[in-house]
Order: sequence, then C-alpha cells, then structure tokens
Amino acid sequence: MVDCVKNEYRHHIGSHEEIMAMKAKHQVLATYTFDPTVIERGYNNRSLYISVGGQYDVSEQDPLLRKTEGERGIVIGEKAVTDFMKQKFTGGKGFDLYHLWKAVKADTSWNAPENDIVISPGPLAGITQYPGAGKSLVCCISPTTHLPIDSNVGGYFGPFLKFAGFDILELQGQAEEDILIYIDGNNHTISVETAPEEAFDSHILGEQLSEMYANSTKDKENISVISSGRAAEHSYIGILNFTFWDKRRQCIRLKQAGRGGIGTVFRNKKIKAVVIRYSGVHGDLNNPANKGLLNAAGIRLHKEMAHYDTKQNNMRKIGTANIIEVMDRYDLLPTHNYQYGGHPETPKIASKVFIEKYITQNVPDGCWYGCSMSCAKAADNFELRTGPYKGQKVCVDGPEYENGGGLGSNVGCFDPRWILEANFYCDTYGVDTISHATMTAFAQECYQRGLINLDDTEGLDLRWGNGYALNELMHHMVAGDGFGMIVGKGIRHQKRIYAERFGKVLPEYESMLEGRPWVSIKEPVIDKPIPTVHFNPDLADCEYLKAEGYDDEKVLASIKGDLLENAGANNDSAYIAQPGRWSKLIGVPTIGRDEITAWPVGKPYYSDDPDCCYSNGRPWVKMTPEQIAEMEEFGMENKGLEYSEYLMKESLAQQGGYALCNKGPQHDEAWLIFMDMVNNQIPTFEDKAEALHYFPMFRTWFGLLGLCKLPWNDITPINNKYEAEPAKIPEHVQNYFDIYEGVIGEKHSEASMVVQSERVYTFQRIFILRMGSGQRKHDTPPARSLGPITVGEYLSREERYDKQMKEIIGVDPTGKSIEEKVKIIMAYRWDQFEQLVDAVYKRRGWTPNGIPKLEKLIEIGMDIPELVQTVRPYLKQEGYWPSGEEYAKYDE
Amino acid sequence: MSDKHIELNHRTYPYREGLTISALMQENNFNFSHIIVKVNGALVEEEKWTKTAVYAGDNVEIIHIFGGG
Repeated sequence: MVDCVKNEYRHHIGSHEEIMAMKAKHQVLATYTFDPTVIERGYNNRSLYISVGGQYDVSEQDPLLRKTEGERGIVIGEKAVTDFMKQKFTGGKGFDLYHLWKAVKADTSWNAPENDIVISPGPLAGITQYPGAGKSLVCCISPTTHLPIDSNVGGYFGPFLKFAGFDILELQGQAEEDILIYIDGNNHTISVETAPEEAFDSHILGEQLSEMYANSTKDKENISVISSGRAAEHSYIGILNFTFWDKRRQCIRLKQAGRGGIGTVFRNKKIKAVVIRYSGVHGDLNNPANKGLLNAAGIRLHKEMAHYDTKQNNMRKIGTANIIEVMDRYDLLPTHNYQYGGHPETPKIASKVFIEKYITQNVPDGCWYGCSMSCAKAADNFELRTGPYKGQKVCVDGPEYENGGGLGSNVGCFDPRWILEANFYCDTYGVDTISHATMTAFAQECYQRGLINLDDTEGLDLRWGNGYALNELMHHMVAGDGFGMIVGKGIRHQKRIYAERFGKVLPEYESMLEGRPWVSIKEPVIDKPIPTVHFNPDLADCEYLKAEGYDDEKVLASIKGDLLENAGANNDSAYIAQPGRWSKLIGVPTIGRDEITAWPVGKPYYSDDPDCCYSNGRPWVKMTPEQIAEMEEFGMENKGLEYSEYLMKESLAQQGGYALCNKGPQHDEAWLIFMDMVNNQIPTFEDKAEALHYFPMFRTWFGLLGLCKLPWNDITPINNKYEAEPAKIPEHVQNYFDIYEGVIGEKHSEASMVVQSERVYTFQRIFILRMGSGQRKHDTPPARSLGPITVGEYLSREERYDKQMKEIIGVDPTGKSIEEKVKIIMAYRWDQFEQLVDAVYKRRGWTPNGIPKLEKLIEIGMDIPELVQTVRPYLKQEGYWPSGEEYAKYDE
Repeated sequence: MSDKHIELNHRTYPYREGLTISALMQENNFNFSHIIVKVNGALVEEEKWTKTAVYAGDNVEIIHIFGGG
C-alpha cells in the first residue's frame, strides 16, 4: 500500500461518527425509485433528469416519461433516449448538446436556472477490455464564453451512471440552499437532500461523501462523487471533480472536467455534490454484441503498453507530463505568456524531476478499470506551504502536462514545488488549471508592462516566477478578494475591468494622489526579458520567518538580497505586501457606471459600480485606447476561453486548430503542431484544411463514444512506421472500429466515423451561432498566437524570423528596424491565417463567413428544422441559400 | 559553400559531402524518441541512421510520431 497522506488531514474530513452526524442533518427533499434495466449494446435508452428547483420554461424539452415532484420545486424524472438521438447524436457529447439545445434559448445566460449541466458517458464507456474507456462528457452554457462548452473527464462516475441505468444525467434549475444528489445504482433509488455541513473543497468533500455513502471501507471503490469547490463561488473557471477510490492509497482521487466553468454553473445551482454508488462492475455490463472483438483489441494494446511505453512516452511513469522537456526542446513550451517557446530553466521542471522526486512509482494509476496506460499519476505526501492547508501533507493528482506548461513555464515558475502546490489547490478549490495559468500569465504581463501596478494587484508582485505570489493570487480569488476576483473571471473580464479602471494618471491630477500609496507606472520591461526570480520559498514566507524569530527588516533584506542577486530586480516590490487601502481623496469624484465610458482618460475617479469587487476606496483611472489595444494583442483568449498550453506561433495549422475550435481554444479538437511545424507534412492550405477536418472529427468521435484520446497516439504499434499515414496510427483506429463493432454490433469505417462526428460538430457550430457567436469574426485569434508582436519576441528568435522574411516573404530584412520587421512578419501571417480560414471553411462545407451550408446539412442528415431555421437568415444574407425545387421545402 | 541541396521535410536544405541521417537529425535538433525516417520514400531503420549517407537531390522525411495534446 502506498504511504497515504489522508491521516494528515483526517481532522478536516472528520471521524466516521462526525460524518454520519453530518448526514443526520440532511433533509430529504425528494426521492425517486426507478426500474432496473439491462444495457443493450451500450445503451440504456433512457436518461435521468433532475431539476433542483426554480421557475423556467420547459416547453421545448423532451417530455418526462415518469417523474416525481419533491419539495421546493424539485423534479426527478426519466426521458427516453430515442433512435433519432442515437442516429443523429450517437451519445456522450452529442447527447449533451442535444439536451442543452432543448433546455436553453438564444439569450440564456450561464446563471439562468434553465442552463443545463448534461453528463453522458457514451455508448462504449464502461468497457474494461480496452484502455481509456471510462470517460464522461459534460456540457453546459459557459460563464466565460456564454456558449456551449464541452469537457471530458475520467473517474468512475460516468460508467457507474450507465450501469445504474442511465445514459445521461441532466441537472437543471437552481436550488434554494446547498443540496446533494444521491443515486443508488443497486437499490434503484435517487434522493435530493440538503447538505448543510459538508466541506466545499473537493479533496475533503470527496472523502466525506465516500465515507458517508459506502457500506464499508472496501465499498468505497463503488462510490464516485462529483463536486466543484470554493473557487466556483467567486470565479468563472470552476471545474467539476469526478472521484474514484484509490484502493492502494486508500484515498479518493480526482479527475477534472476542466474547461469553461462548468463547476461555476454547478455551484450556481447550489449543488454541492452528486454521489453515485454502484457495486458489481464487470466487463460485460454493456452487453456487447461481440466480446471477442473487444478482447482481441484490448490484448493488442495491453501488449504494446507493456513492451513499448518505456521506450516511447513513459505514460505509466509520469503521464502526460512526459512532454514538458520535449515541448521545450522544440520551442513549443509556452513561456512568459506565450512570448517564447522555451526557457533555460526548463530542466528544473522536466518530467524526470517529478518522476525521481515527487511522483509515486509502480502504482497502477488508471482512472477506470482495465486501463493499462495508467497515466493518472500522483505525488504523495506533498507538504503544502501556503493557504488553508499549509503544513499538511497531501496527495496531489498530477502533474499533467498542462500543469507544467501552464502553472510552470507560462507564468515563469520553474520550481516543481510551486507547480505541485498550485496543482493541488486548483483541484481542491475546483479551478481550471489551464484557464487559471493563462489568465494569470496575462495579468503578469500587464503588470510587467506597467498597465497595472502593485497597488492594483493589492500588493501581489506578479513578476514571472514568483510562485508565492501566484499561489496567493489563487487564494485571493477563491476568497473573493478584490484583484483575485477580477483575475478569476477570465482574460476577457480582466481586459474590460483594466480598461475601465486601471491606467496611468495624467500629470495634472498627480497632486491629488500625492502622499498616497500609489506606485508609479513602471517603464515597460517586457522587451528585456527578466531572468526568472527564485525566492527561497521559506524566506519568502514572512509569517513563517517571524515565527522563527526574524524581524521584518531581516526578512525583507533577505528577500531583496535574494532577488537582487538572482535577478537584478528592483527592490520596490520584492515582497508580498498587504493590500493597500485608500481612504477617499479630496477632489476625486465618485461616478456611476454609466459615466465610466465617457470619463477622461487619466483622470482619477471613485467607482460606485455595484459589480466592482473593490471596496477599499481606491481611485480608478481609465486606460488609453493604445493600452487597450495592446491588451487585445497579448490577451490569450478566443471566444472568451483562455488558450491551452502550447505555443502555436510557428504552426499555422495549430493556430487554426485553436481559433476555429467551437468552444474556444482547447487543443482537444486538433493538435497538429508536429505534423505541421516540424514534419511539414501538410504544407498547402488544402493539406492543412484536410487535417483540420479529419483530426477534429476523429477527436470529436472520442467524445461521442466515451473514450480517452491518450491510448490512440500516446503509444504506437511497432509496425506503424510502415503505414502510409503514420500520424493517424491506423492500427489503433482499426482497434476503435473493432471495439465499436464489438459493443454496438455495427461495422464502422473511417468514412462512417467522420460523418458521425460531422453531425455533432456541425450541430455545435450552429449552436454557437444561435448563441451569438459562430461567425468568422468570432474565430479571430489574438495577434500573439500568430507570431512575434514585440521587439523582445522578435529578437529572441531573430535569425529564424529574418530567414523567413527573406526566403518565404521575399523581403530583405537588412537595414530594417525590429519594429518594421515585426510589422512585415505579422502582416504576412495575418494574410496566411485568413487564407487558412477560407480553406478550412470550404472543406467543412461552410460559407466564407463560417456558416454551415444547407447542402452540407442535407449531406450529413442534419437538415432538421431547428438547424435550418438558424442558418437560413445568414445563408440568405450572404447569398448562399441554394436555389432549386429540391430546396423549396426548407424555405418554409 | 555548395549550391547543392536536398529536400528535408519538403523544405530545401543545403547538402554537403558526408551528410548522414544522424547528422541531419543532430543539426535540426530532432531528438524526440519516436521518429520515422524515409529517404526517397524508403524507410530507413533506426540502427542504420548513423551510416546512411544522404546525397544531393535526396528527398528526406524525418517524421515525428508525436501524441501530444
């Protein structure tokens, strides 16, 4: 057994008696009994619907076949999973989007009660013969994008839901107080109960509820819990944690549905947790059509894992974090807010550091039964240095690659301990590590460019690499404290708030602020990259040092000395200051929200905006239009979602893969960097467009079926080198068609797979169109995603850019200033990007404005009235509505 | 400097006397663990990279098989 950490925080979890006392405080608000079913070839053919309360229109939704109504407006019922749904939407993300479309209207906001969290495991989910088959897909309207978001997650909940008897779980409404939902998959009962006393942070709540609902310690392996965390209360980047019981560590583990703020919606509904219990997992529960096909495919992959993983990707030792140093070597590791693709200090956070010092080895870390890839790694006995659990030893789920790339290099932090610390707190608070890292990196760059200052950040010194300050920022965000709360709502929100309220004071108003704790705007330093600052983490912890007998002066002197020695940094902000508190100043007026936009730039004012999370009387100053435009260039978001952690500047296909992604820039639609940038296998626009069709469709397919992507191409068969298209890993694609046939009973091919995915992919495009996005202008990326936007970025790779200018663009760089060369490179790259978009839209059957054509809908069998109605006005306006009698029926 | 070239991953690359697959990989920092090499369409097994010479006009493909995101 692994030396587990749970005793360290047992006092937070509570004893068994204390936990059962919590349960006794529950008030049951509704109960429901359902009939057992037998899964037919992957489907139960019914879904579970729960409204946790509130008034909203359900007239467009599929009818409830059975239902019960509890107290406070709670409804529990069942809906049919029809042949129409299976044919058009397959399952998983397809089912989610179908129900979400029915639940919401074009103007539904993320916090409206009708917003629907839909969870579906997919028809192949739950098989144990083939690795990576325990995925759930989760959708809702996102707080950050106001569009449908989809996120996939491991853990046991999805398969248990299916084995309990449901293909889908829908959560709608808004409860009056904190509730939890308990699904007993063996006794066929569901209850909705108040949950007043359980913890909010997931690493504790998961333990409490596993203890509460399991019949014994061994029975905990039959429990899975969905929860969010405290971050969801104040940020837009709340995640859902799905637990599974790690019987070797004897503690719960967490897997995350991370992107787009689904946890924020979950908490907005006042759902504290959904708990499921199912006992009796075995390999045949999907009632597969041909188990022999499943077994044969599974054995092939298990053998590959056993023989080749250590020679290939080391997934079983370190999981996805194996690529941290590879990304650095190929100049793809996002560094300092995507300015650069690597850093000299990356070896400090390389995978072998985590393997040798932190990650417990030789533990089968699969997040569902039968997964020999076993990549859900964990660092045991990790001692925390900040926050509410400071000093405790905990189990950290991770790090995934995104933790290294995001919480490490992108924020300039090359200390594995700070990465693991942030990793832990992101998980237990319920924070999306990717968005958190990217939005923090944006705030850091704003700070270092002088767009915001130490007073704006309430004393947090946001220079690259200040791990202490970055973790403190997260604690502030979770606590709902001023600046942390602004950052936690995302880059798009930050840009708006900064534009309205942060900026340089005009000289004529400076006297008003004389003597106040205002730190002058610093000179921009971004073009002169600062060496990463390395605090001695213990020295940076003032409270600790004070307890050890140091006085403040000694502490500061030590820290400043450390900074000056290592970084040559100024010493005016080299410590974690307390938030500056301003009193009202004479001559600084208080203005309303309506006046803000018309207020002169550089003239200070107090805000009485009720949305303003500051209450410290700080005078605001509006940014100049130039400063606002500057933020648009390096704020790494699209459609309101933060970019994930890959540097895409040198890969046009990856720039498209990100910007054209329906939900926002997440790499799970298409990851083409090596095919494009390194291998140059897709040199023409048409080649790239084909890749940006095939790969997003194949990746969509995983989300329809309930499969993990990793066993597809993070292990490679030995004969793959002989394949005509090795990047597709054809032998593994055939494995997937075999397991599809094995469960569903129908043969599958590349062509039928692509169409199956195109139906849902195109549906999602029309869905975002319905919600106010989905046109070409919405697919526009920030400038930095295309290339160097600053002198510093250009100079860092000057030889490369000069060569490109001369050999590809045909302009001689000799004698040109760096500023001129940046303009030339960027103008060329914008033109390339627009040509790529043209090619991709054409390949996908969309208009040049990104609207799916009617002919495409007919071709893939998605010419259903609601979709046609949505695209029709755009197609007519753009002149793409087809003529001819065969189309007349669509014009009604 | 020679004006002879090879094609490396569909890009023009300068040729020089004695060029091998291994040298090409080293020069281009192609150090990933899982790479397929083809010269004029024919697979070159890994154990032959150090001794396989590349000649002017050759079409060399050094393909990284990378899972990634």
